[in-house]
Amino acid sequence: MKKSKVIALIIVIAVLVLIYFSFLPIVTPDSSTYYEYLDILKGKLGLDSWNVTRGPAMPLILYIFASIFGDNANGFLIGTFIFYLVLLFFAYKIIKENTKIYDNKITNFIIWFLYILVIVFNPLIIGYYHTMLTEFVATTVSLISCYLSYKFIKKQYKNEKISFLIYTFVFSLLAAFMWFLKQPYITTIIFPLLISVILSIIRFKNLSNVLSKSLSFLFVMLFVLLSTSIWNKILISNDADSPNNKTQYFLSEGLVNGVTNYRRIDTVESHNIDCVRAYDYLTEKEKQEIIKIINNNSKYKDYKIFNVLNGEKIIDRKILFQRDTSVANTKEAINFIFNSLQEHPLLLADSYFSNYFATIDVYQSYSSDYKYYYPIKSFEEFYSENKTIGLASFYERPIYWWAWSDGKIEVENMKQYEVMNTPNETLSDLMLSSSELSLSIFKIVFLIAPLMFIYLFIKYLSIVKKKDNYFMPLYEIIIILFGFSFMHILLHAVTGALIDRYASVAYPAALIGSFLLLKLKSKKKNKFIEKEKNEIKGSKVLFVIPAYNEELNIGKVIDEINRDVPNADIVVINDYSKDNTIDIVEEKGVYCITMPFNVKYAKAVQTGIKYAEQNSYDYVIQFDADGQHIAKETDKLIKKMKEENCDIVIGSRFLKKNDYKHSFFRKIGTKVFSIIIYLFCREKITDPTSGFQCLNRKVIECYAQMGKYPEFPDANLIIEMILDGYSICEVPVVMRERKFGESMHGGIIKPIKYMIKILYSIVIIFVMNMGFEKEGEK
Amino acid sequence: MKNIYFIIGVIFIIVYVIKTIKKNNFSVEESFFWISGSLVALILAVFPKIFDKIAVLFGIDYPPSLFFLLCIIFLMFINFRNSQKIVVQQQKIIELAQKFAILERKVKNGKK
Repeated sequence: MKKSKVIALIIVIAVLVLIYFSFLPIVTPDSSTYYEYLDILKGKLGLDSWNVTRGPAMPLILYIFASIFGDNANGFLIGTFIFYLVLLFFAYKIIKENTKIYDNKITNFIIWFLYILVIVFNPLIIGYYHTMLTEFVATTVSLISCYLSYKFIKKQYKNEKISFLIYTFVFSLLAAFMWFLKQPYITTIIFPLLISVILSIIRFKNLSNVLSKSLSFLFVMLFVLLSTSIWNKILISNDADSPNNKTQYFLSEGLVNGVTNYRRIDTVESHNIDCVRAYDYLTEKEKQEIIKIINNNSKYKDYKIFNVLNGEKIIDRKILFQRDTSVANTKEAINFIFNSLQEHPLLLADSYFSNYFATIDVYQSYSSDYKYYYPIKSFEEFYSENKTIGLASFYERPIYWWAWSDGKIEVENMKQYEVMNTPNETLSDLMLSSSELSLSIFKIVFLIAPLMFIYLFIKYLSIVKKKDNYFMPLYEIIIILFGFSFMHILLHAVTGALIDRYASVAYPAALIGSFLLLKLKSKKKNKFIEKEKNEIKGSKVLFVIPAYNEELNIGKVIDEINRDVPNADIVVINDYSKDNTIDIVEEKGVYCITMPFNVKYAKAVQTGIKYAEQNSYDYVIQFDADGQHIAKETDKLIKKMKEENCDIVIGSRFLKKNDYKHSFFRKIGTKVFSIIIYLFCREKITDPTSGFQCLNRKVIECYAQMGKYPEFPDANLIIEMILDGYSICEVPVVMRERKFGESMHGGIIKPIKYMIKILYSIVIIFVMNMGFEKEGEK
Repeated sequence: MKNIYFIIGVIFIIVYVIKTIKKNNFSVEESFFWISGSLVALILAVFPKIFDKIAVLFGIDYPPSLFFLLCIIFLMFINFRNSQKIVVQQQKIIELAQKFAILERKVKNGKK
């Protein structure tokens, strides 16, 4: 098994490399602004040229790529490929840990299949790793952070001091790094860590854990603040622009923009005092303040008036006072939002919901004239950065660098990125055709993230109360993954940054969370822990013989059973035979049940089992009426059942080599079923279609129920019983060839239909047992 | 994407059918056509370009009418199959009724 896994791994990596390096990186205006800082890092320019809109992390990464791998497109791709491999590695680790514990073969197979299809080869994710923007770093770091946070939950300070401190330190470094990469992306560290701390406190309620985890979180925040202030001091001491102001400005503007049902209308310059006096919604006090501002004798320097809109109607006006015209105050912005929350809570909620939907590409985020940056609640095609930037590598087009300089630096050397992007047509088509699916999955996973997060969090509280340790780790990782994706996008929604590119950072995390949902309803191992000891108390054995037009064989069969197994009862189910079967049976004095019309083999056998159940038989032997089964072999079956306490014992023709001649097709069919049963249930059943079986009391009661015995009781029934926890054994037996009469499986069309039905039945049984059922429902 | 809600709908149908099988309100054998039909619809929804190619093959100018045609054929087929089953069931019920009537009389005779 290991060798094939290695080969599969090599194939996947080879295909990945082929696809990855067939596409060139995309350069956007923002890319050139990151690139221009390389001159400062190389020492050609001084630090005073640093434009503070960008943090130092991304230029540093580009500089490292340029120096190690070469300052060209390939060098950049090699660098991002390393980040991509790290992403895949951590995704693999998260999934591996959770498929090992809850061992369900089918679900595991599906999850790994989805891993390869939807994570490794997802066009949208690969596309963002081909873009010279910060997303590829943030995506990788997000998964690292989710994994570390998951591990961090169980770390207790008193037990593993050094490990605990290392984790805290790593989180602090990563948090500072993400802040310097792009300020909103600190969510990749803060939210997983916060959720981890909360879950840990819920789970381990002792004082030491609460204190140590809270202090750890505080330390991370302080570290970030410290690093930022050090960096700011370095910049200011080198005569760069004042960084604090820019940061404050972005944050406060963003916070107020996020309240998008409020439309800003005007500022001081466009107003005169009569206008102000005529406003309906403002209070007198507010009007006086505005007049004071216009007359230049107020402590405030500026004001902004917002129309509060419910749809198209103006229902209120709100006002935001600012102390300084050049910088908007974050405190004022937060105050403004709190006041809005008190006065129009539903509108605010509506804004944030709509923004959430806009950020995940569900709504249109711009008005049609691009004037207003607010979600338009219609499910339409619209401008989306996922399509224009994320998938841009796969289109054939010229790539130019943009001279989009933020400040004092001239961008010259991006010429090596100015190429014609002509990707391989087949690969390009492949990527683009699956991109639609990727974009749809993008929407779906982010729609379910908040719901599953809240639902699982509440369920987690009850699991901790019940001390059900079995499922706890699974819940924890899914809560972290979904919580991070949901809060990451919510933050962008609250600050009005309705750009879907920012949401793509949480895409792999939400995907993995969705896949792990399949594991949620896994059954616990050890079904039927206590096997009931079958007491050998004068056990009643019943032979169930279904018969259809078997007048030639039935007499001999009954004689044989009476001779070889004398203390067993016989019941013959006459499936509305048209010949003299019933006369022969009644002549021999055997109990015969005649069906009112033909019900076919399976239902006839079930009738016999129902009879056994009503009359409290301990064992049922399914026996054929065509003389193929040998009565003496039943001793082997019953002996095996009593020895090993199995629920079903199958008499197998193929366990030991014998002379039984099978038609070619039937041999292939049996082999196929054997392989299927082995693949999915890890049980070696050599003769799944054998009708010579012994059933114990438990199985009798199961089969006797309505709807429990399928039309063709072969491999599908065996698989269903195994998955339900019954034990199945085999014994080698000898059988004769059929002498007289017509077999059930004759012809050409019948066997083919039969195969299709059985295979389909097996598939459905797998899907049903995959894990969505509640325990005890069957 | 255009067909996303269709895909969600088809997946919902498949899950619903499987749930009814589990609750014993439906059988594995009967579900074959519904599940296979849903799977075909799913494939066509995920890769709608196949549809255009098939339509050209059949000489249909307007591909969506091919979709309606397939739906109608599917429904007619299921309908006919249902009618078949009803006829057979009716016969079996009448057979049971007749045998039951005769048996009941026998039992009453026996009691006397």
